[in-house]
Amino acid sequence: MSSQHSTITITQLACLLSAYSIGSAIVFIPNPLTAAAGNDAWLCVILAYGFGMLVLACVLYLHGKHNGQNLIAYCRSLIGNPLTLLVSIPIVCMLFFAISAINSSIGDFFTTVMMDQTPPYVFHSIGIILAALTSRAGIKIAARMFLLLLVIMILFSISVILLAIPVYHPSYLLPFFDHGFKPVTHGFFIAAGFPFGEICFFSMLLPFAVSSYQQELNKKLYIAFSFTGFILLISTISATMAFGPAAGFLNYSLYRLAIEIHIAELFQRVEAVIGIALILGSYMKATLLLMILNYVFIELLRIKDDKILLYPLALICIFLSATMFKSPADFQEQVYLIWPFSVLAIGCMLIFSLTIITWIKIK
Amino acid sequence: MLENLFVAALLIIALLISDLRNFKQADTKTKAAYVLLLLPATYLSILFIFHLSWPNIGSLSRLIYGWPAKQLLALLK
Repeated sequence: MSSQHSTITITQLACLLSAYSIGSAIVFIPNPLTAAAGNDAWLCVILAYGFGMLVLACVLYLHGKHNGQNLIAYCRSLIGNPLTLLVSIPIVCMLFFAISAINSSIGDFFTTVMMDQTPPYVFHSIGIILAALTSRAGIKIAARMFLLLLVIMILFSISVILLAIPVYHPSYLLPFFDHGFKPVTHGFFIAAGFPFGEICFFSMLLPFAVSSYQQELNKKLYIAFSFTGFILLISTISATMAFGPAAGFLNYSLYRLAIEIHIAELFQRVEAVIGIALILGSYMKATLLLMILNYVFIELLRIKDDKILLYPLALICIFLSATMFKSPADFQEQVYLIWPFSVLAIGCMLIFSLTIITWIKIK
Repeated sequence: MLENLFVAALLIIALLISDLRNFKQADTKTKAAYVLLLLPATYLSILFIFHLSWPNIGSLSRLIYGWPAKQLLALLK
């Protein structure tokens, strides 16, 4: 794989991890969590963050024990080529689904809140073409660019959360466990699948960092992931405090929060700016997932050219984005029920199984 | 339909023309993988152009994960 010569610093990799985890989640969380768990949604985020840290720990353990190889490579060495090919089929399908769902959601976001006369395929095609062009430029270019975009996204998100302080009602966070603990487990299931459990796929990008500093890599990735958990937690808490139970019915929570900002009759209608900043996150995540999908194919088929498959993959994702969801209800079911289940059952279970097999082999 | 046909044709032609030189220089295995990936792209472009509701990756996911996911959700709710 020619891109093995292309390496990024550990700090850049940590930023990619933050961009990957926060990415599209900042736009959509906490709406589904509040719909499931009500005012206990923030607890779901904390529990899912704990689960995500466990998955990340396993990913880093595997990375360290297998000399910096990627997921498919150590999968092949642990369970053999035929089983790896078998396991890769659902992983490839999941990656196609994820990229297309993110892309589709970018189109839905713009056509719902800003540009309702524009056909969705405009956003679907531009989104994926941008992701494909960024992937073709290479991970080094992407890492440098995403550091800047991540800072912009985080700054705007935190600004919205701080400027919306006048509309918060802390009493909306109470009472705890109003409907028992089961709604919290439902919210945990959603958040563990999207976005915290998706860290299982990030193992494909770990080989691009300098692997001789494993401890430093571990430390910085844990910090980056904890930062993700913090941002999503404060986003969830602020949406709950602003809207209370209605947060479960208002999608694009941070965007809706920005609509509520009115300062001195002059500082209003800032949601357009936050909308653009939020979509940056979705674009970064789609790009990273497209890179991961590309490297999965390259590793599986042992192809030397690491850029040639990007455009056919992009074409598939464009048309998938445009045709995959038949209705908003279909989107809800697939993204908040089917997707979390598949991430937990396939992605996370694979990582846990490979961790156990590696540990047994080393013993 | 014509609008979607135009958009699909534009995307396919643009992306493939830009890959033409690399495709010619690639080895047989890479060319085979490339053509293989164009098959689902072609199928999905037909769905897109003619607004068809034929089986998609969503229906495949629902078929495989739908029942166990709903059973798990019933346990959690």
